[in-house]
Amino acid sequence: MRRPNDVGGLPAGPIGPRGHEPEPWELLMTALVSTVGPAKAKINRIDEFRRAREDLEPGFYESLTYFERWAQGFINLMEEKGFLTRAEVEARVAEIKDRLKRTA
Amino acid sequence: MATTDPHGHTHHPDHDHDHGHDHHHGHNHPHDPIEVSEGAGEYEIMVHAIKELLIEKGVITGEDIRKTLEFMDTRTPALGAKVVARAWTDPEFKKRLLANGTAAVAEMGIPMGDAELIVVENSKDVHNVIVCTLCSCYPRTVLGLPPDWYKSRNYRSRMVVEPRAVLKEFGTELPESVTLRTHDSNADMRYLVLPERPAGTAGWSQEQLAAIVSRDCMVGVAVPKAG
Amino acid sequence: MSEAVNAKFAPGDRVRIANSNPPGHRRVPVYARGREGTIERFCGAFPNPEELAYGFDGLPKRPLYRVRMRQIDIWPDYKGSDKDTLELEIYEHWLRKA
Repeated sequence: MRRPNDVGGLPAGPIGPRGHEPEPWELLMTALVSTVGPAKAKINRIDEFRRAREDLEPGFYESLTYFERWAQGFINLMEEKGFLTRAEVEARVAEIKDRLKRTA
Repeated sequence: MATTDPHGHTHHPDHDHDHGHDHHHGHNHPHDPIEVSEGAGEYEIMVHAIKELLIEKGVITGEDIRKTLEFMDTRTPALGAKVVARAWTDPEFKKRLLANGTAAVAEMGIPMGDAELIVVENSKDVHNVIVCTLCSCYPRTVLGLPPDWYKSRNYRSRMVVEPRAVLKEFGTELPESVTLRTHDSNADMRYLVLPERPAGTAGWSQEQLAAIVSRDCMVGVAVPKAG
Repeated sequence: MSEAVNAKFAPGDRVRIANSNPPGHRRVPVYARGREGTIERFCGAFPNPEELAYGFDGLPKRPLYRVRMRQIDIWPDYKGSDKDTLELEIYEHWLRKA
């Protein structure tokens, strides 16, 4: 069975745009993964994070962009490790949205 | 529009941040905390939510993240270009680079971490190009973050099966007399392409040479030009 | 770079990558499974990523090789030179002598 990341040789379209600087939140996502993993806390190996991304449901996986996949895979991995729950993340998202509304 | 970070500090993104922090020797300004931007989308907010929770739960600190971001800032293709320029001008270094990439770049202060670096050499007969079909493995400590196209589904799918067509999209056409080696970076090795030194660069300094070595040349989708 | 390890294969050996389809995290792309190639070099020994992915320590370290394959041996309609290659890293437990 081909996991959703195993795409070598599959039909695909033209190579996309060449110049795009990462958004600050994408840099933050990258830094979080690195800091929690190999760069500092060593909670997980990079292999566990790859596996967590690959384990996303194929339809869901296909619907996400690169860093969206990182966020979803990372939440699942952190939940697996017992550091947070998806429910806590969702609650915090709602809280941040409130915060932004209040200070806008 | 001010936001409050988990430490209770209010940040005003419209104002210049005061760089009154410690300056680490040899580094640029310390990385400012990344704040939730105005009009932030769902995933931007989600990433900040994850960050706040992990800091509150003591998994990592804001300072840890800042140090990671600071290190990331120092990783740019200019590092790889310096390695290439040195290999072009120092035959003994080039030999060491091709024999053991990890040790050779360590000589220049570039750490590989858990990965190993393999440097593959272009010549008039052989051209090398790098892809990671399974994810986006890339020599980040030598080149910085990979570009979107490298991580894209289309590049990863097509580079192994129709590499010459993909190279053509990048403006690089190889005659059939040149053998194309496509490297799928699928395990613990990371790859850097050592491009062929172009004609018209005799007597150039390492700085001048490094300036014509782009990131794309070190991934193998482009070749450096003197003009 | 590598500690002393019993590497079964040497550069130049013809090998076949297992045509295996195990579940879970693997680092052998489907396009490479069942294919033949030549050992280009021994890369050293590393903890098994298939086990690291699930929180195990992946030990003992497994020998890793770069395997060089001809593009024309992989893709029926490959457009390019017959000498073009596709090279990737395969752990010893996925390899048999061809």
